[in-house]
Amino acid sequence: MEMCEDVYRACVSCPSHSAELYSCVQQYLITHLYDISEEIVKGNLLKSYYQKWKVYQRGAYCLDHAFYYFNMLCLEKWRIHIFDLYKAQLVCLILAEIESDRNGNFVDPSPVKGAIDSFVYLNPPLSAPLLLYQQAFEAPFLEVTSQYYSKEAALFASERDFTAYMIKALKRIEEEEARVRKFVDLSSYSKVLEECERQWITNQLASFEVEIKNYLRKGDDEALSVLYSLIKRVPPLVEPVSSRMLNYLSEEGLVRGSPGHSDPVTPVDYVDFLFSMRSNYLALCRTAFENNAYFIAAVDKAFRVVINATNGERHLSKSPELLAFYCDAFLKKSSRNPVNYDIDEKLNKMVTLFEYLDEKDVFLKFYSRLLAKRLINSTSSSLEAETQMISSLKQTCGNDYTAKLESMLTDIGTSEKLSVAFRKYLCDHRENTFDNFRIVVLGRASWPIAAQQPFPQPPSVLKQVLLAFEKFYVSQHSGRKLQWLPYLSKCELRMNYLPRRYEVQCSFYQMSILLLFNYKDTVSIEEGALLDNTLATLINAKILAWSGTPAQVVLNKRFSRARGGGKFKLPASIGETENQKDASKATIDAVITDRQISLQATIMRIMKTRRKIAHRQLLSEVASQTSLRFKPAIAMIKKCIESLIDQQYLARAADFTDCYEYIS
Amino acid sequence: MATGNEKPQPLDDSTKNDTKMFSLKKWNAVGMWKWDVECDTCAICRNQVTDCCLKCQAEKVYNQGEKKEECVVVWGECNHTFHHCCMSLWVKQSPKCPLCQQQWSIQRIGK
Repeated sequence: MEMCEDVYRACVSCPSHSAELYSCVQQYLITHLYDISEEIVKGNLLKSYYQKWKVYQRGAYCLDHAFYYFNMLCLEKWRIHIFDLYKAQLVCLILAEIESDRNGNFVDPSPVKGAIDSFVYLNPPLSAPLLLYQQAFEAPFLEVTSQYYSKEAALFASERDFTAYMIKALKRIEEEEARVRKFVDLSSYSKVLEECERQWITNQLASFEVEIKNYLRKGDDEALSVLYSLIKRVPPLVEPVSSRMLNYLSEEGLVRGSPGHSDPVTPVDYVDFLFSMRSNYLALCRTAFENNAYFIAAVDKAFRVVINATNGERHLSKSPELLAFYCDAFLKKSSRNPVNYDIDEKLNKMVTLFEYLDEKDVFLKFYSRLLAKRLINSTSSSLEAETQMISSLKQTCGNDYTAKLESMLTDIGTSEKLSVAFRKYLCDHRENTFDNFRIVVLGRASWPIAAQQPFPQPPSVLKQVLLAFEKFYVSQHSGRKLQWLPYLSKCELRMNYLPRRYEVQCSFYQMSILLLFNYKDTVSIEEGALLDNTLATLINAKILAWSGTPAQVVLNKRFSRARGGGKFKLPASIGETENQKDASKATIDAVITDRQISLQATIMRIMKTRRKIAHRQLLSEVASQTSLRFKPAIAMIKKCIESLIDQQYLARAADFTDCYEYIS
Repeated sequence: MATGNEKPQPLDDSTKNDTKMFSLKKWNAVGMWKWDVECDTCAICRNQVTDCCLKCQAEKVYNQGEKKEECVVVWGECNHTFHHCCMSLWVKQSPKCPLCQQQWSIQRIGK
């Protein structure tokens, strides 16, 4: 080694020898390579190529140390005299070896890897890096890979069911990863895998799209998980596949969850169904889809579709109403669930679902009606829960949304205080009246309470109290006028004429009739003329009976109840369910009126700031401004615009540009 | 609110009304108040007097529910009524009732 260096130095010290040395070494290399070339074909070409290359490379390495400058010469000579000669055969052999490895046979990686490395090494000095390797080997290799796997994948897809196919694909791709590391240059890694994935996954996209629905239907979480681990390898496929899930979920949800599907659905069942559907599929996203954002979004979207699905002639979703009744069910105390232990959980459920609602205004209408009922009848299980519920709604929809609900709660609070103060007032004034009462005074603006029926003459026991209270109230609040709402008033009466002690909970009107019997035995219908329906309820309940003489009623002195305790509740009117349907229809009518007003207000607000605006832009701004409350139908917005034009608040632009102008 | 599982008890004499057929145990009365006014709308802001005035309404929306003083009604000697808020602003410009042009003086303020 040192000798060589000495010789080299001696030669280069004098330039004239340098060229001579170069040509001598070149001559030597050529003869040497001739010998190699003859020997190389004697055995297995790939192996002996690899061995000779190894020795030669080591020689070249020494020579490199000795004369760096000559290194290129060595490689160039090998390229010309060996590589170019055997290139075609070599590549064929390498590809055959790799195919054999793919077929599961054992292949010694060193000669293959070594030969491939030599291709990298032999790259001509002035061309792009890896060019020789890419042209001589990589291109044909990718071609072969594509053919091989396309054949295998097609065969597998036709022979086995899809689950087996997916498992096979996953295994083959993982094997190929290891294989690429073992044999070829790492610069090809991603290209080879891409080819492999294209054959196994991308080309089967249609099957993936079909099968994901089948797996979801069967609830085959494992298969879904395998499916995802394949799909995630090809990021552009995630979206189309997840959108199939969206389709499936919304179809499925609509069929199973639609309120029209299995009428009548109870609010609790409905909410439980929706919530469990959502949380099941989110759990699936977690376990099978690694919480991939596309899949989570698919669940979300599907859910929004299901919950806002419209049916019926009004094109309104039934969900807001059911959700409001669901709230009522868990916020109301009743004999069946005197204490609600899981209010927090239910509240959570409710708020989660609420956020998906498009028609929050419908919900609000129903909710406030039910809240009013709970507060007036003091059937709310806890005011704390009510407050909590309202503040959750406020967080989602803003202050404006809950203002009325809040002032309803406030009214109840002040009424409690007022009742206490009134009792004290009665004591102070030594008014000896009936005193087991609760008086609620509502402010007119916030309560969803309709026009009044006339107040029948109150029984004398109560008349005194009412008058006293009116006097008391005016002394507390100047400038106010009180109006009693008898149809919201409830009483409890004890029936003293029966062997068993019964206490009956009844409406104010029912009480008015019953108290008449304290003074006489028969009551003629004229006396209850205004109260036809009420009388019927009492006869229905067998508390009253027709007497022998026409148009007169008497007490049923043999009244008894077979089941239940001594306390019971009278139905307020006959055909209560019918009433509920009417009420729900009326509520929705009210919502639609409110929407029109709110749309017109929104349009005017926009027009006032913009002065002139294009039709399309106006529509989209209106929709975005109202989106917190509801999703307006385009037809409805148009109708509102028309009506505002009729009222000359706006006009179509004179220049036919499809714009509107504000008229000040 | 019936608990439903109470055993019927024998008649007791604790209430003085027991000689009657029915005796009232409990009563839940519901009333509604409104301002004792002739005209339901405030002539200044055109809102209902039972609602709060236009300005308070807007503030309610934007102030995130911070409650300030309640929006009440005011009666003038002429018996015309307005929101107290609206009238306070009005008298800064003109000391007359906007409806009858009489000198404005407050008769009473709602509470």
